[in-house]
Amino acid sequence: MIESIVVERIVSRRDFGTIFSGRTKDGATVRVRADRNALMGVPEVGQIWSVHGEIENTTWGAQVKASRAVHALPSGRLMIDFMSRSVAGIGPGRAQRLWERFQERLPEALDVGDVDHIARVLEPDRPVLGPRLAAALVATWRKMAGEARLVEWLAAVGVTDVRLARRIYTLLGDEAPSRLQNNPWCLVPLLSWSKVDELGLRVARENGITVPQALPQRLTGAADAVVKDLIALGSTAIKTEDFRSKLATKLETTGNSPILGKAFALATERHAVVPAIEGLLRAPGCAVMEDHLAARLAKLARQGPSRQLRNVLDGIGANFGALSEEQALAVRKALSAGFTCLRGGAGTGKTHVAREICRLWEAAGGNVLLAAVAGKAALQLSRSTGRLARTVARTLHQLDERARIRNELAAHSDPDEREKLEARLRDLAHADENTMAIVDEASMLDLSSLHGLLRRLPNGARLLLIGDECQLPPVNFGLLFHRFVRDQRITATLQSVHRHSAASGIPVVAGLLRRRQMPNLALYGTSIRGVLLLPADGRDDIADKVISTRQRLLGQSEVMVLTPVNDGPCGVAGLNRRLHDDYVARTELQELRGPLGDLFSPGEPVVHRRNDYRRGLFNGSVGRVRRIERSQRSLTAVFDEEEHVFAGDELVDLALGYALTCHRAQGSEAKNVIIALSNSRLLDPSWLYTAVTRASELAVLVGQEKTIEEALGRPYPEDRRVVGLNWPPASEAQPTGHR
Amino acid sequence: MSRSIVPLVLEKLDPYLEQQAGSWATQPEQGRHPTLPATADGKINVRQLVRDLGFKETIEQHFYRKPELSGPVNAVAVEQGLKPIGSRAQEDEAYAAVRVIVGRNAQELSDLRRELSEREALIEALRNENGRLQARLGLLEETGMTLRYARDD
Repeated sequence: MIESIVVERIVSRRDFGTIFSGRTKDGATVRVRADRNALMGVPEVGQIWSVHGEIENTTWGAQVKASRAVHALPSGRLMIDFMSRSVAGIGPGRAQRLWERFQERLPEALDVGDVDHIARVLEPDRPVLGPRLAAALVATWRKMAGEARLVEWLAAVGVTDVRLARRIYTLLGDEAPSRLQNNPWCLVPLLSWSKVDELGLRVARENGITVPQALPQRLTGAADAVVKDLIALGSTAIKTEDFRSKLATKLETTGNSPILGKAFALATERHAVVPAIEGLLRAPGCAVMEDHLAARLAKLARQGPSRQLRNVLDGIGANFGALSEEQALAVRKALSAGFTCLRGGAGTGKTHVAREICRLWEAAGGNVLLAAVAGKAALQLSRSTGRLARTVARTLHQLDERARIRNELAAHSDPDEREKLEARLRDLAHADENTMAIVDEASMLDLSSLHGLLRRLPNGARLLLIGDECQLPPVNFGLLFHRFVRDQRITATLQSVHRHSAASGIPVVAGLLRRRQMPNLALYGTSIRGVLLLPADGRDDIADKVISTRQRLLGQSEVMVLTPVNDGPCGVAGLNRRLHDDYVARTELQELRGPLGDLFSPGEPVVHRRNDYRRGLFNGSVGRVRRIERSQRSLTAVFDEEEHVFAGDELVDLALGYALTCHRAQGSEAKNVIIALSNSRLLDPSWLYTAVTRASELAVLVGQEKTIEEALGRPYPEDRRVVGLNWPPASEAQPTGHR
Repeated sequence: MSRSIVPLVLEKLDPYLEQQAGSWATQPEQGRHPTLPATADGKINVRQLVRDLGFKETIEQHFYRKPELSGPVNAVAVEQGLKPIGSRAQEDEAYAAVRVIVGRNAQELSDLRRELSEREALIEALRNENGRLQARLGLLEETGMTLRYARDD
């Protein structure tokens, strides 16, 4: 059903959305529940909302469950109500004055937006107040009208996703419908190619174009779609011949067709790709970020230590206390420039060195900003340095929040209000010209995260990346740390293993895996330490043995379960379900079912599945369920000590977190680690090495030796990704003998 | 307005004018000074005249409205070289001054409003542009891609 409803009462406004009651055109009273994702704006009393949805029966009676609710444009005398309610300062009197002057042409006058004219009608004798009210009214009207017209346009072409509409409006503004009408293929970054192409062809035909297949907009859109695909695989560049071949596939044509030639020419002409050296074509958006960060980091790398830092280092001489000679050298090297990297395998004491770097930097009058890509890695960094570390995502979010509050402070003179705002600043991440930002597990640091961090760091702030290039690459696009550590001028290397005792045998096995050599593994049951093999044949057998081994080890100490795949009985979902059932059987707690069938109970670990900039949560953020409310279909979970409510369809963003993929476990450590060796192309040397080195005492590989051999036969991800990063930038490059 | 005010005022005005006219006549012909109260620009100072008669200032208005009162005063004033009460020239001057002030204020008001309107519209446009650029930067960092928003893209 679709209804125009005048909102009469806001029943409830919560994180998940709004429940309101109102009246239809026929005068019937109706109650509407609209989740946040279905709402285009925030309903207020007196507004007209166009509601799409189905009627459902609830304990409060019948209500419409809105699949889409959009603020509808008022007309006629309802304009008076709209104006007096929507803009502070325009009461009924001024609204009436405008209506009397413009009558039915008022919407048109607001569209034109002649602020001076409207101000004269609103307040002829107040030359200061009048224009301000008029400008606010025009802005409010345009935003609402723009959104409503865009939603109407999108609905007409079959796109009904309110979140998408909201995003397009933010990106394109009032002109969104006309821009989309002109080039629907511009939506490639936001929608799949098949959907965009279908939409584009339909719109073009409606515009009277009988053969739209060869339209330049479509051909450029296809090139954009190829670029999108390569970014999805983690690359930021592509070989020219590969690009041509994928473009032909996208356009469903052959390699020598005229349309492909035209599309290829348009791709470079309209910057769908940027030609680079060695026959590579770069993704333009990624190229912008890569070039920007390379230039900034090259400049930083030229900055030497400050006078205070030199004094501190001179003061301690060679006396680095508990640090080994190699570690002491690494400390000096890491502090020698504004941008450096610290690399080393598992157990070489990277975080130990990081702690000493923090201490010296602070002694020289600086401050540190500690971050890691994954939540568990951030926790580990906090523990090992004795200083607060956050996830990179949370750091970026807090730096933005700090900037926002600073702006608010500039506008507030009330001492009470200022005190409240200043109190909120105290716990937020901070960066100034004396900051050294240290990012651990940097092999997983993707292009957008580092770009985002750098643009939030003020000039003068320094950067240290710590990691192991043999561990997993970033989940998202780009490859940075792996490239930076090839430059010995900025890289300190740790090679001696300290963490794992020789008796555990883990360092020896890890070293072999790192070199892609097959280790000779003892069988599980013959020892309680080291890297052991528990033979299992087939996915069900692997799953059974993972579960039984976990139950056996759980009573003794912490256990981590890792698997390379998401689906199937020994994938993340299958193992999580079995472990959840086991948990519920033991605790008898209630459970809540999410839209994808996942079940959650209080106390269980959860993982966030996508980047949500509004919440400051990212794909892989790890939290724990605090409570569930089955009647509201909502769940409250704690991430980084902050509560987040997920209601209705928002639960799709959560998954159980008993069993993890290796990416989510990187940076964390457990006494016992169980590794499901399911056949997967993701099983490669970096995956195996990362998984095994999560264990401090015991790593149990559940599966077959053959699977390990196959994994070691695959190349490192670094060799599979094609990236366009130029490091060091051409102007900085030294003769090869130096490197 | 009560008509009874005229005889009341005339009762005092007539002997006053008589006296002032007499004083004027007694001065040497060369270098006579007006004996009626005058302003610096040679007009009758009606307010002072009312005070001299012992009335409140509210009576002043009647000298402008009632020819019965302004007539006798003007007769003496013209003789003494002063501009009469309610003269066209006096009115014109007063109105012209008001027109200048009103005109200047109105122009200033209009200029101010237009300027402010333009600024408010500009601020709003910049705020929107800022929002769009932030969103595009967000899209770039999230997807690695830019949106084709130019018309000829």
